[in-house]
Amino acid sequence: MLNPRLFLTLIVSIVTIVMVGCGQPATAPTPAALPIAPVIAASELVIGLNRLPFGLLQGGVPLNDPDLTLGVTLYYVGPDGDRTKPVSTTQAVYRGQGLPVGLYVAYATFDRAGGWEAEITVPQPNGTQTNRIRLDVSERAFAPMVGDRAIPSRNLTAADVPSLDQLTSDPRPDPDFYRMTIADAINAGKPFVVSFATPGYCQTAVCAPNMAVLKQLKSEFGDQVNFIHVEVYPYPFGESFQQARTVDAMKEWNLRTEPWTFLVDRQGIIQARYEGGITFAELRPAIAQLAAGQPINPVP
Amino acid sequence: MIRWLHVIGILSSLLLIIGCDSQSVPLRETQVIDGLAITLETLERPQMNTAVDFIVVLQDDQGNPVSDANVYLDLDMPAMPMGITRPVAVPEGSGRYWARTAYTMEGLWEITVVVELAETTYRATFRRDVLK
Repeated sequence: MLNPRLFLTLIVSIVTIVMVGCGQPATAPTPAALPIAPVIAASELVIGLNRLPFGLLQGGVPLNDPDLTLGVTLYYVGPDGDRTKPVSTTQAVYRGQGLPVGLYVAYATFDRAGGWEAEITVPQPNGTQTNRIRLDVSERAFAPMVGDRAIPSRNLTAADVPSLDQLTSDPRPDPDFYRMTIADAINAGKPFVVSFATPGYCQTAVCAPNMAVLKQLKSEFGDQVNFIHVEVYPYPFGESFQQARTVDAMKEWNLRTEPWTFLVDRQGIIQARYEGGITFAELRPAIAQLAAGQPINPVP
Repeated sequence: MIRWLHVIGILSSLLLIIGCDSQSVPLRETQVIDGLAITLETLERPQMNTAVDFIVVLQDDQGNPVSDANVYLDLDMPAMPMGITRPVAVPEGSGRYWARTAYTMEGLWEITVVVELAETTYRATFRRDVLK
């Protein structure tokens, strides 16, 4: 017969073997101790000033901490670059107000094309966590850049369809966003904001919050600035989404992700562009500058 | 006594097999690109929005560790462009490099290990099915 003490020892050993063998710690880590992975929510970077939106993922959920500010140090690692010598440093501040995920936005200027690395420092209760992300900076972007002329797309308007629900997947559309084409807005000689978004089928989950921000800003600036929403997918939206078929304006603007928001001045020149989530706090000063005919300074 | 030990040994093996689901087990795969052996070790069935570690091991055609390369990973979904997910792999010595990032959507992802060595760039692509 087996000695009971030996039996107990063996059982404890088995449990230990299973836990260690599975690569799991013997005790579950507390949420704060779980590692954080920063991800950048942008699809393209170019020479000049760029918006760098970061998300932080921890334990299966995005972090949404308004008190967090990230350190961002940039290194050029292309030909003759040195990954130990910082080129510049900046900070990513919280811009997640009203968004389903926390967003931390930094602005950085890249003075040359090629390989760069961003070192992200996340303050934690027990010190800091640092991760590096590779960035590839291009001479030209796919999407229209700041300083480019807006592309005069002839997107559908309310006049082209029997009802707005064939024009937008927004469950609460504001009719003012569907009165003019982008071409009309350029010809109107008035600044305008154009949002390419799909509130009903948004893969990034920020389209509907973006539209809420723009509707709020339209109520304040609507007499000085035109607002346009271009739905990403043609009607019927669900079918087009399944087939990855986008509207002509998306192709004409060469947009490969969604959502995008562009601020265009009265001469039809793009003054600012935002990929992904936007917030009232980030966009309001920019639209105020656009309405006043001033150069837009997006840096907080 | 010996019989008991046998029983417990078999029990341990069963528990290891049942207890270790594939989410928590790293899968190690190697590709040889122009004489450079690129090994990637990372979870076989990772979960989205969770920090995932990646180990890259480099060996030259003689089996010697390669420790002086610039290494980063380029993660994307073949079905749709997912923006920039390119964690830099930090050298840890003996040809071993470590990186951490997260998959932001469930489904099939491609992980391209990019190795910049002298004037040459090597790329090896691996695949993972990411769980919700």
